[in-house]
Amino acid sequence: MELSLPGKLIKRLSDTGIKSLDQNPLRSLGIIILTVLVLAAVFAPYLAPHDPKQTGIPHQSPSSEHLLGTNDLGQDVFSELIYGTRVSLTIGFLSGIISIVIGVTVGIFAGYFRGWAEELLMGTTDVFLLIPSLPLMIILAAYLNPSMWNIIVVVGLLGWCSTARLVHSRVLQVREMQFIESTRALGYSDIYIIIRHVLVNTKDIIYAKFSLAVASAMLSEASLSFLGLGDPLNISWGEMIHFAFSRGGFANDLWWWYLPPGLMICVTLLAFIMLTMEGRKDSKILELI
Amino acid sequence: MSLLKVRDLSVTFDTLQGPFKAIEGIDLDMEELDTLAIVGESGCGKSVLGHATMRLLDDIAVVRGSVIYRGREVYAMSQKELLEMRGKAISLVPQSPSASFNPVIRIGKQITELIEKAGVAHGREAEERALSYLDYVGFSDPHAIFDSYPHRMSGGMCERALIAMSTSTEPDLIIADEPTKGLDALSRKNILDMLQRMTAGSSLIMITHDLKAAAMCKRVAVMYSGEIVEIGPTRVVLEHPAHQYTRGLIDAQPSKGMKPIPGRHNISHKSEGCRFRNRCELVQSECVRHPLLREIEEGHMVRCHYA
Amino acid sequence: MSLAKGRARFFAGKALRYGITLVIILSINFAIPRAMPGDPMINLLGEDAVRVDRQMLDELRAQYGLDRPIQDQYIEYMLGAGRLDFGYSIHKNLKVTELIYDRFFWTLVLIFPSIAIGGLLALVLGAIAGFRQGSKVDRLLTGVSIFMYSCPSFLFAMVIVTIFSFHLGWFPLGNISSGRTQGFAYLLDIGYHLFLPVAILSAFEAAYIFLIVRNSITQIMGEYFIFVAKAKGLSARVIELRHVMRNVLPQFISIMALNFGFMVSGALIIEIVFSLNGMGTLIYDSVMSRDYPVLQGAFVFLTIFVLAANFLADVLYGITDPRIGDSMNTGKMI
Repeated sequence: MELSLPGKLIKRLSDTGIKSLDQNPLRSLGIIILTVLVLAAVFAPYLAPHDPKQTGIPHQSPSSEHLLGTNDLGQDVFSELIYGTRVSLTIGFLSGIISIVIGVTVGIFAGYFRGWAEELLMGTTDVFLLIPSLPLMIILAAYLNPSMWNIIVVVGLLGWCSTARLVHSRVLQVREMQFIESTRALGYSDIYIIIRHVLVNTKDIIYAKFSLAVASAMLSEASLSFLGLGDPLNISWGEMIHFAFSRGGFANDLWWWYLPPGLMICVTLLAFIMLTMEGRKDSKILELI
Repeated sequence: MSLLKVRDLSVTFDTLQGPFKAIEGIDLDMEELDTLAIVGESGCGKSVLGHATMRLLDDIAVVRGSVIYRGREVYAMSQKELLEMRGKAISLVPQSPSASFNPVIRIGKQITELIEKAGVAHGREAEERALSYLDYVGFSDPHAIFDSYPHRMSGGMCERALIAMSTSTEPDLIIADEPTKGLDALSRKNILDMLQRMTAGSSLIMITHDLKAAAMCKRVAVMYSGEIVEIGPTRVVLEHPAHQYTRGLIDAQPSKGMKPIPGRHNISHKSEGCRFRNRCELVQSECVRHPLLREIEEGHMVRCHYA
Repeated sequence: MSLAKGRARFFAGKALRYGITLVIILSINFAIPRAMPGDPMINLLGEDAVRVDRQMLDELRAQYGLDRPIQDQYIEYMLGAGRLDFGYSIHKNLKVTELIYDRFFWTLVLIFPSIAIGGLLALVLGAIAGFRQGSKVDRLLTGVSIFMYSCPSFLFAMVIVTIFSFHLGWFPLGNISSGRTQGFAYLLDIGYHLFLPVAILSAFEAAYIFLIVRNSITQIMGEYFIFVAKAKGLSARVIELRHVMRNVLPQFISIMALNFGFMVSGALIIEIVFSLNGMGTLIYDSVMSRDYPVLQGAFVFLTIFVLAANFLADVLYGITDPRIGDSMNTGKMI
């Protein structure tokens, strides 16, 4: 039976939806988790049952009033957790963007232009890869004012090296392709070729790497915040754990204070890794990390 | 008793696009000290046939039919019997010589491990044997090659070392997979001469796309699209080909003016009938029926209704 | 050129690269306090600088030469770095180097066994999973590794401590030893105290390296020479141990080295959770009191350590892979 046009469209949409869910269940799960998290971050004021800054009776166990209990100041942990989603995701995304932009630029320029530019850029990348990043981030963050924006910059500026390496090696492959040679011979400008051909042919690894860059930025942010270098005005999940750790929540076994933000970090990172899964095959993670 | 008997052998690969028949209905007989060339274009299934004979195909390959080596069914052997047979009874000279050796193990060690595994010799004696075989294949300094890593050797050197390795266990049957692939004319002649010399005491199946190389064998089988389309004594087949595809192959040789066979090799061959008919200049109405391999004279068989 | 000469050149090139890297890192460390916003005096001395008396401040100011031109300061700093002199912690009232020496030792005691255990574990488990790709064991191990990869180390450590130290009371917290024992008993005591931190750190190392080893095995299993080894009739065991694992080794060593920095970061965090007396707790305290000289010294020490480990790994890599540094690499000599 012939379907009407809208009918066909709906069938096609549901087909692809079901098909991708069937062929790639993990990636679909990742997308669902991240959608929920982003919605929670956007609508935090409507979702949070309490004002996270509002103090009350401290150290309460989880109850129907306080789903995840209260901290040492009597603030509602569940509400803090929802607001923390905003901070953690914002830092992760923005740092991820900074690191991917730098990494892709360095990788493409080094791979495309070769010569001394390559020597210089990839040499610098190798030096940065050798520096243990956490101690350097700690120093930089310790000098700067504890603000969310400073953390974004510090994490973003130190996280680009592996992206640069990956993109560089991919560009070297792309560069050898026949059509790039012929496009150059036709006299197109380098910038045109880079944007129209090189970027197009590296975009799949850039997407996947971006996903992992956000994940690793979130992990770095969590570590910095855990060390007490977070923004006291914008409390992220990592910083919640820092407070639980430094203000007695951990020593007194108040699990509802530090475990939920920790699990949120795990789940979010897993979701980003799931995005890089391809079909029923292994995750791209193996090539990317 | 014949050395090797292949009966109605077919191999199907389970691919994402569905099952793909690589070879179908292959019958072959090899006697002691027999030599047979299997020729055909790439993708005709000749390497698959070689690998199937040694039961070397992956799990995604479904193999039907039988391969009987000295009265024993290869596909009924235990894992232990199979490992004993490979390299000792039937030996493979693999293609792509440069990729055939493990890059982090010295050549000598890789030859010696086969000699020891086959139980021909052990320890010091096995090393001596490896050295003498490196000498037989014409290396002026076998000790240097023995201690060398594969990355230090050219493709031609690797090919010679491979032949030394594969023959060092004095196997009954040697399957040489494209031994002249990618070699220039001079190296090709050297390798063929040497291969002939080194396999004098064994039976040989040479898989090749090169009719010149095939000429050194007593018999030749021509494969097209997974089937044998013509088989017979080399002189007869090469001088009086009965199948239009064989004629095409002969005319496509550089010495005959490199006249290409028209049309393209249709790998999927889903249609019934003669598989060559879409490229055959002599195609007729009867060709929609699948032809059987039939004997047109003593030992000369062809798969064509009109030959 | 002979193989030995090629190798020597390869190692000399590596050494030069590490030397340059070291100079760059020291320069970054020199630049940071001077380029950062705020009073350079405080940036160099830490926030406790405002509390010391005038005379000492003047002495320190003279020592750092903040009134002199920047190139003089740089030379002075580099000379100091050459003597491993990274200034003075007003907060702790000690020279930074002395402060670090003691703590650094205990961080190494934590890191080395973890790297050895974790690496070995990764090699064995990676082989088990890699050779049985798609099996239940493989899927389980891969799943656990990816989970570990996405789990912050401090959270994992906190959960472990809560279970094994707080609730079950099996392991102690907060000290490296009980301090009452001597000789072999002392070592056992240290082992007991460090058991959990080392186990956690090993698990993180193993999880990451496992993924690499498994992937590497998958790649090598697809190589043509493995097919040839099968055609030779070699048993699966011989092929796996001799032909595959031998090829995994160089990649394994280089990834272990690249992971050194990650292990250092992990150790710092674990120390803080277990309140062990090491570089991690030193850095944590220094962050809290903004004791900048200590932070800088710690950074340089850790970086030099990571550099040294990587250099060692490069040498090992050159030894395990015959292709490295061989000028005949692509040579044809028929």
